[in-house]
Amino acid sequence: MQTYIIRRLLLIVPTVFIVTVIVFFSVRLIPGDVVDMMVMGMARGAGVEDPRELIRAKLGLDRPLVAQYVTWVTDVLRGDLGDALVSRESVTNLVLNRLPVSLEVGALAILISLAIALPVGIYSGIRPDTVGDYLLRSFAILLITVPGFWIALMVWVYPALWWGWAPPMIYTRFSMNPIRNLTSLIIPASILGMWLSGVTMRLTRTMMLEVLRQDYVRTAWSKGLQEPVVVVRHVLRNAMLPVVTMVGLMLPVMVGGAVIVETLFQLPGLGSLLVFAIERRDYIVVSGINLVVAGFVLIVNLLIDLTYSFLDPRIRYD
Amino acid sequence: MRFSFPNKLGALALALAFALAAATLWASPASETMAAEVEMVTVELTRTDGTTMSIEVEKPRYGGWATEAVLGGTTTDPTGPSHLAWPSQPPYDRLVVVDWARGVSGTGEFSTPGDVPQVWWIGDAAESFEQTGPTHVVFQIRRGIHFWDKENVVNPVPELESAYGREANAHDVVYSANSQKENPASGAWPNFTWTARDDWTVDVDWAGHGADYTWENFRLLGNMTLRPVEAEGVDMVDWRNALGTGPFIWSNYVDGSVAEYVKNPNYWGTDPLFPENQQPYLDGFRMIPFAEIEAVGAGMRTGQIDRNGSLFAFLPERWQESLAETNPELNSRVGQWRQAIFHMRQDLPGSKFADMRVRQAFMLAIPHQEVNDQFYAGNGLTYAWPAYPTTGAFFVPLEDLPTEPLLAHEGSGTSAQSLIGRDLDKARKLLADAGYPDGFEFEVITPPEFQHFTELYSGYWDDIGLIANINVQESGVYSTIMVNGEHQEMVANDWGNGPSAFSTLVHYYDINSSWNYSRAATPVYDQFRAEIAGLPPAEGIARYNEYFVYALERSDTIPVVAEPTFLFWQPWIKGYNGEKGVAVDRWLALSRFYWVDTDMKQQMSGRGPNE
Repeated sequence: MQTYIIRRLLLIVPTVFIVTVIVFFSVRLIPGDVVDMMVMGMARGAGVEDPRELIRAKLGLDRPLVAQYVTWVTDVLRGDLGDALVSRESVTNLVLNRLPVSLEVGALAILISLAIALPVGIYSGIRPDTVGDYLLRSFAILLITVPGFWIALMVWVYPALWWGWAPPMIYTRFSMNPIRNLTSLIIPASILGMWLSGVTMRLTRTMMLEVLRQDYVRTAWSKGLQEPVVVVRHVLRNAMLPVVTMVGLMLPVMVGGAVIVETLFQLPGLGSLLVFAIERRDYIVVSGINLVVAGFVLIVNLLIDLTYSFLDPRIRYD
Repeated sequence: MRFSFPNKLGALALALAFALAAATLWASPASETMAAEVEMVTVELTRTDGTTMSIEVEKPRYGGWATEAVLGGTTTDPTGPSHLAWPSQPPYDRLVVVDWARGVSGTGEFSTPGDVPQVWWIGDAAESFEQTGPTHVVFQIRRGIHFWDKENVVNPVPELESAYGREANAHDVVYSANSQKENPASGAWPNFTWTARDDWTVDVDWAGHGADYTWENFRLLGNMTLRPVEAEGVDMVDWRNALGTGPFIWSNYVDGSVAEYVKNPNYWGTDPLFPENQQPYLDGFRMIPFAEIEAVGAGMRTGQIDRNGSLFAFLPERWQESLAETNPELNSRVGQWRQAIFHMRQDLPGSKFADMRVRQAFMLAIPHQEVNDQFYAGNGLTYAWPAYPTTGAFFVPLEDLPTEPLLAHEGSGTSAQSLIGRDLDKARKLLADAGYPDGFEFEVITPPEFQHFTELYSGYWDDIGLIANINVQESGVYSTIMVNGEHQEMVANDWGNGPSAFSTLVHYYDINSSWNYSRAATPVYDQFRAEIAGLPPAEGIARYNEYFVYALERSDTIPVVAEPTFLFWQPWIKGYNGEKGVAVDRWLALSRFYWVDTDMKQQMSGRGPNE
C-alpha cells in the first residue's frame, strides 16, 4: 500500500508539470488581451503616447512567453502564485481566501445531493418498474435537465415578487456566525446539489439493479435473509464503488466549477473569481486558479483510489 | 402499519404548516408602530447667480447603517481603475467635488456630475483652486483634514505610525496622485504633472491632447484618493492597512461579497445644507457587489438594499414599471442616459461610409421618437448628440436646428433637423444618389451588452435595404478589435460615462484620438477645437453650437436613442434626491451626505438600524 501511495505521489510531479504548461499557455490563447481591455476606456490622442507597451513592460508581459512561464513556475514552486494583473492583489491570498467558500459550497452540495439521491436511487433499484420508480426516475431527469442558472434566477425573482423575500445577500464566514453562514449557503448549495442528485440517483439505481442480479445476492436471498440485510450488507456496498468515484470526482468540479451559483449569489468563491478573471483576461489569476483546481483533482483522485480497498476488500494495491 | 408512516408524516406536515402560519401572523410587522415625528426645517440657499431661495427639508438625524448595491468585480487597490476600485471611494477624500448644495438636493441647478461645468465644482480636500493658465491649476489644500486615528483602524501598521492622526498636506496629495499615475491599470492622468509648491499648495500642469480643455481635464482630478506619503512601500492593496481621511473607515471586507465601513468620528466635512452638522450622519455603510441585475432588483423589492449606488448597478427601463407596481414607496430618478452610437469606418479604401449621404441614410431610417416611446416609455433621449441636453447652452434644441442642409458642398443630402426623424423615401434617395439604389450588406460588430439595440436598429435599416450582418463578439475580443482598429465597417458602442459637452469634439472627431472609431477626419473639426479652446466662455459656447450642428449633419457617427438607467432608493434614505455621485466616477462617495430614518426603516422593512 505504502509503495503504491509513494508511486502515485511521484507520478503527480510530472502531471503537475504538464498541468502548469497547459494552464499557463492555454489561457493566453483566448482571444482578447488584458492590456487592450485596460486601455479601452482611456481616451488619448495627439501628444499622448499609446500606453500599451509601457503597461506591458510594467506587468512583465513584454517578455517572451517562455521567460514569463519560467518566472511564474519558479514563483509557484516557492508557493507564490503571482500578483493579479488588474487588481495587483496576491493571487495566493485571493485563492486562499476563496477556496474555503468553494469547498464549503461543494461539500454542502454533495451532502444535499447524497441525502436525496441515495434513498431514492436505492428505492428505485429495489422496486424497479413500479409507479414509484417511474415517478422518481422522471424526477431525476427533471433535476438533471433544469439548468441551475434558471432556478437561481427564479429564486431571485419570484419570492421577492410574491412574498417580499429574497435570499441572504451577504456571505458570512463560518467562523464568524455558523448559522448565518449556513443560511447564506443553503440555497446555492441546494441548486448545485440538485443536478448532482439527479445524476447520482440514476447511477445508484443502475448499479443496484446490476448487483441485485449477481449470484451472491441470489444466495443471500436463498439463505432467507431479510431485505434490509441483503440490500445494505450485500448489494449497497458493492453498488457504491462507481458512485463513490463519481461523487469524489465531483468535489473538485464543484470547487472550480460552481461558477454560476457563486456568481448569481455573490458568494466569494473560486468560481466567481475565475469568471471575473477570465472576463478581464487576468492570465495570472486564471492560471493560478486552474493550477489549484488541477492539484485538487489529483489529490482527490488518489484518495478515491485508496477508498476502493476499503469498500471492496478484493482490491489490493500491493 | 406500512402506510401509517406517510399518514404520520402528513399529519406532522399539516401541524407544521399551521404552526408556521400562526407564527407568521403573530410575527407580522406591527402596523401600529409609530413613526418618529417628522421635523421640517427651512434652509436658505444661494444660487450661482447670487439669487436666494429656500427649501423645506427634514431635519437630519444621526445613526443607522445604509446598504448600497454595486455591480461587477472589485479591487481594494486605492490606485486602481475607478470602475473596479469602488471599495476605495468611501474611505478616501478627493481634491474637488461637485457642489452638493447646487444639485438636486439643493438649488437644483444641475442633476448629474458628469455634465457639470467647472463653476459648480468646489474644493474638497482642496479648500480652493485657481486656474492660472490654460494648462495650469493651483490647489490650496484644506487645513484641518486629518488621517484616521490609530485606534480607529483595523490593523495599525508600524510604517504608518507618524501618519495616524496627522494633518494631510500638499506632499500627501502629490504622492497620492503620482502613485495613481504609476499604476498602469488606473489610466489616471498620463499627461499631468503634480508638484508641491509648499506644504499647502499643489501645482498641476498638463500637456498633450486636449491640453486646452480645462473643463474636460479638470473634472478628472476628482478621481484622486488622498493617502499619506508614509504609505510608500506599504501594501495598501490590503484593506486592513488602509489609511485615509475620508468619512468612512474600513471595518470589514470579504472579497467579492461585501465591503463595510464605520463612521470616521473626526471627519472634517459638514453638511452643505446644515453647516453646523458634522458628516457623516451614518454610523456605518455597507456595499454589496452583485453580478446579477435580478438580485439587485430583489434587494430593492425586499428592502435589503437601500440604494443601487453604482453606475453599473443602475437598473434599465423595464425595472421602472416593475418596481413601481410592487413597491410604489420606492423613489427613483434617471441615473444616467447612455447614448447608443454606431461608428462607421471611413478611412479604408472603397469605404461606403466615406460618403456622407450613406451615413445620413442610416440616420433617416431610424424613428427616434417611436423607439423612445415604445422601448423606453419616453424616458430616453431621442436626441443627445454631440452633446447631452443636460449640458445647458452647449446643446442645440431640435427646433433650433437648421432645416436646410448646410454642408451641400461636402456632399450632404439633408438638413441636421431632418436627421432626427424617420424619412424612408429620402433615405432611399440618398442611397441611390450615392450609388446604392438597392442598399448593401455590411458587418456590425457588437459586444453582448449592445446586442439588443444593434438588433433593434438593424431592423429599421433593413427597411431601406441596408442589411446588417451582426457579429457578436465577447467583450474582451471586442476591446481588442476596437483598440487595434480591426473593424472594417461598423461597430456598436455607447457614450455615457460622465460625458461632458467636449467629449465628442475632443475624443470622437480627432483623427489622433483613440476613441475616433469612425476615423472621422476633416480640418473643420481641428479648426473648431483650436478656436473654441481659445475663446471666452460665451463666444466659445456659440462656436460650440456651430460645431454641434456641423457634427450632427455630417453623421460621422450614428447616434440613436439614449437609453435611460435608473437609480432607486428607499423612502427612509433622507437628504438624498437621486444624485448620481459627487465627482466623475465617484458614485459611492455620496453616502456622507444622506441620513437614514431608522424608525421608518424598521417599520417598513423590519431591518434594525445597523442592518
